[in-house]
Amino acid sequence: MTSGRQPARQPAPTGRSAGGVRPYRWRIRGASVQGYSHVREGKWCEDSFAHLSLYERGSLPDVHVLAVADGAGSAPRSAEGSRLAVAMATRLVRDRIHPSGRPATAPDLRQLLAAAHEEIVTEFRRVVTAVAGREHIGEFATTLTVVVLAYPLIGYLSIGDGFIVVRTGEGGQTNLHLLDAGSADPEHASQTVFLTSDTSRAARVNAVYDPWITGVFMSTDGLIPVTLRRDPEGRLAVATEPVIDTVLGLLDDDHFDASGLVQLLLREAVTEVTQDDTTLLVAVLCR
Amino acid sequence: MAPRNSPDRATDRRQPRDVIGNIPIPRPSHRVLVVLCMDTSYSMRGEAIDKLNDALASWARSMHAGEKMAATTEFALITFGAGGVRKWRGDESFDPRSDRTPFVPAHSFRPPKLSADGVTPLVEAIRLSISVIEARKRQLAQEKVTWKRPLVWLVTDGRPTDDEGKPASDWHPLAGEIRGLEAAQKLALFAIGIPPIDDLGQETLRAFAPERNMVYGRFDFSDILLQLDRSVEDPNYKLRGYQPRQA
Repeated sequence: MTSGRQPARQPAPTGRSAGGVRPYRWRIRGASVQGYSHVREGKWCEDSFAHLSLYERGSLPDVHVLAVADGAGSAPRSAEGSRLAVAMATRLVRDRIHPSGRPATAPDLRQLLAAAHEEIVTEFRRVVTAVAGREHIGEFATTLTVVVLAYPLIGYLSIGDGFIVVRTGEGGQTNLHLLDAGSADPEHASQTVFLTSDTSRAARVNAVYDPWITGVFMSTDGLIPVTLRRDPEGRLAVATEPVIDTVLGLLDDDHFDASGLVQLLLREAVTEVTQDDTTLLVAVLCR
Repeated sequence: MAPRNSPDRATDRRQPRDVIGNIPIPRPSHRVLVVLCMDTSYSMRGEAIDKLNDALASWARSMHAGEKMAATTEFALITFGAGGVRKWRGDESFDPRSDRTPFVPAHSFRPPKLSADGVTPLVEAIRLSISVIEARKRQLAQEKVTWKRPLVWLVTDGRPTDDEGKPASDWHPLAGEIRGLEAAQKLALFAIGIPPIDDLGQETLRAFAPERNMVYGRFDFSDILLQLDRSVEDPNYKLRGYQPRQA
């Protein structure tokens, strides 16, 4: 994937052909399931996801803003925090894009997301303070991962340990790329950054240009054991088991019933591996 | 799954639910090691040890009967009191000097029926907890299995004593060692006090776990185990009811 430069290859086809073929568009579906540990305690699912769209005229696929968030288990109001975070983030990012339309270049998108990050943190703190008081901000602790689909650009802003995998071309395991993930090794994974942390300024922001992107899979850390692995150096990478590729492939089908995503999250093989809330928000480029 | 424009994709007419149900899911590649370090000294006789046994049995049943802990969690039980310091696997207790690991997968955890007697060799029990964790890490490393930060849950109703039941003073260096291990993210110790723990006993717990200590006013072992479950899921877990001391 490149950042701001046109590749020296022919880009993927977009727009209507002379024969009036339907243009490419993003198909987006999400699912979230309460983790077993929360079921036992009678607690809410602390994961949330949201999606907003900007419908435009023109031949390119519409712009979409996607977000997932994971409330901190130790924070008593984190379920509210995660819901507030995804709703607020998608709205603020969309409202930044709306006045001038889709970003033209990856640097433009990156700059937009960096500005949005500051606004999201400030506004989140303002709202929580108004609701519960400044001394209780930490009770709403949550991670947040935002993706902007502005084909052929994709940008992201992430605070915490959510992750994003992109598919390029015709799919298959070799065409899955881990675009972003919180990278702490498991033994030291005790320092998750939250939207309420003093270190929330240490968000990861980036945007890339790639006309070959055909799918995006984003999730909270609950699905890391199922979809990612650690290489010998301890770095995260896409797992060899084709979970992500299969999910994106299913979504390629117009007739796919999205309840299948919930079925996946409820599989015993998944709940054996992770007791955490699990969430996925996926998008495929299709006609 | 075949690539999007592949003829194989066009002929792959399996129902999506069949496909979802058959996706290979990775086996767990990391473990959470949890040591339950339980006081079974003489002062635990009667209601306390009965309630502890009941809570452990109920908790283990919840892990067996389809409500299971993640396959990645392993538990070890170490007791201090009756029989001195003991390691346990199921009903069997064995010499702490044995190389045998007391860790078992969560769904296989079967607590013994504990009895209360003897003094409170708490320091030796904590040192053994640390030792069994390090031994298990070495085994996992050989199997190329990674682990999250291990947890030790210490539950006691009194202060540490020596072999003769007199208050021990050798716990001070241990508290410093634990601080060092926690600072290096090698361990997280939760220190729980139950009645009739006194002020000096509580001071010991605060020294061992400045931010993860708590004293219960009654024998609520079920709640203790519930909080243990939460700590397995969340390395940053703060004990419900933890009260930071005023400076």
